[in-house]
Amino acid sequence: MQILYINNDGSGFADNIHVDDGTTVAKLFTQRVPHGRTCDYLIRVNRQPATSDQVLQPGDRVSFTPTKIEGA
Amino acid sequence: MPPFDPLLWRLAGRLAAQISRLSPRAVDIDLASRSMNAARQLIDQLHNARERGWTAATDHLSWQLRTRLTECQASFHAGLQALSSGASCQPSPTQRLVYDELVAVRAEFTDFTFDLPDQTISVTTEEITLEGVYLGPFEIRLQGRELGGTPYIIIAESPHPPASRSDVPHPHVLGERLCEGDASAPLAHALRTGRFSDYFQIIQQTLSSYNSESPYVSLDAWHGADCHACGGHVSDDDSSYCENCEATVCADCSRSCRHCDGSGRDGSGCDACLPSCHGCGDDCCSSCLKRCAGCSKLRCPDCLTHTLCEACHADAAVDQDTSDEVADEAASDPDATLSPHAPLPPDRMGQVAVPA
Repeated sequence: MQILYINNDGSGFADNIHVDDGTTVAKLFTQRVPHGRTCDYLIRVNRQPATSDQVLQPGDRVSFTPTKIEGA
Repeated sequence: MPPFDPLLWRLAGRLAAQISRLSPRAVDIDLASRSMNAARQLIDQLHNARERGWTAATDHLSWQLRTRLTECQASFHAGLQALSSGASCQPSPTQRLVYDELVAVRAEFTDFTFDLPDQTISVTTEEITLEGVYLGPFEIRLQGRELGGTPYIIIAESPHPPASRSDVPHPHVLGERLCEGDASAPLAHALRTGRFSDYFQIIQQTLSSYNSESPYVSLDAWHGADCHACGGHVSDDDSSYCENCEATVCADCSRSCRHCDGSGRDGSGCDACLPSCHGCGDDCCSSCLKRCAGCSKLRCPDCLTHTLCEACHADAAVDQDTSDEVADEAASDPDATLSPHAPLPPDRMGQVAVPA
């Protein structure tokens, strides 16, 4: 199924991606941010806070935003 | 589902139209040119400061220049990323998408307000405390008419700036501008795609983070002030006040007259204002300094003996010795001394020299 995946880390990324049916938020996070910790990110599904075990649905909008972004 | 807001819908339409008019390339070029112009000005100022030997100004300008160049670097990086990821091919955000984003912003932040004619949106962050330093809440105000540049300002709701810089309400905010650093690229990306909820969230996370590498004012130096004399930072506990300069100075630069222990009228001061003895170099207030009767130079009481400094005393002693020697010679050989009443010595037999 297709979802909109947004990662606000680094230079920013937003694109439609394909994920397996039944993919949870935690699984997607592990796939996309393998070296990250969920506690270091604000995780939103359809612009709402989400739990790690929430199962993604087709067309969902998932965003990962780091809690620590360093200004200069 | 919140009730439909027709005014917010109209605002969403205007913002979507603004974004569609901005190509990704235009956004990136505009971001870079602002920083580059600032960097050029700083280079000129840095050149002048170095020529004049203004060390503190040179350090400060160098740091500002590094910050601007970092912004340029981030801007170029964002531009390259946009090109390589094909972001320029992404469709412009729709009015519906922008409206949903604004509804999410309203749900996420307190004090969400907007002004349709001005196309501004304001939210307020939570109260921010960084490493124990309370900074208070900040208003993030997006100016929809300026989406091509840096379209937002940061306003401290209850400013808690450091004593040294009233224009720095946050370690990474100068005036009303956030130095974006790592946030620069994701902010540009979020704006291009109309993701305003992410946009405000990224700004809030940046305000809630501290980068000790390049703050305008370090949190370590938030409390305290810059020493008026040497320019170094001094904490509140180690500072003292120079009444002559009406400024804070550090312990190393605080001075008092060694001869009156600072009890005189201007007996205490700082490195910048308290004079010193030209002889021994000791700190000495103007009340205790006296002019040498011989050379007129200022000397402390220790360096004056009977109104003369050591050097003038020595000169006077030499003069006195010379006078004594002449007097002794005159006493032992009266002919050797010429006086107005002494007879002129014979120049030639039977003749007397007559001055012309």
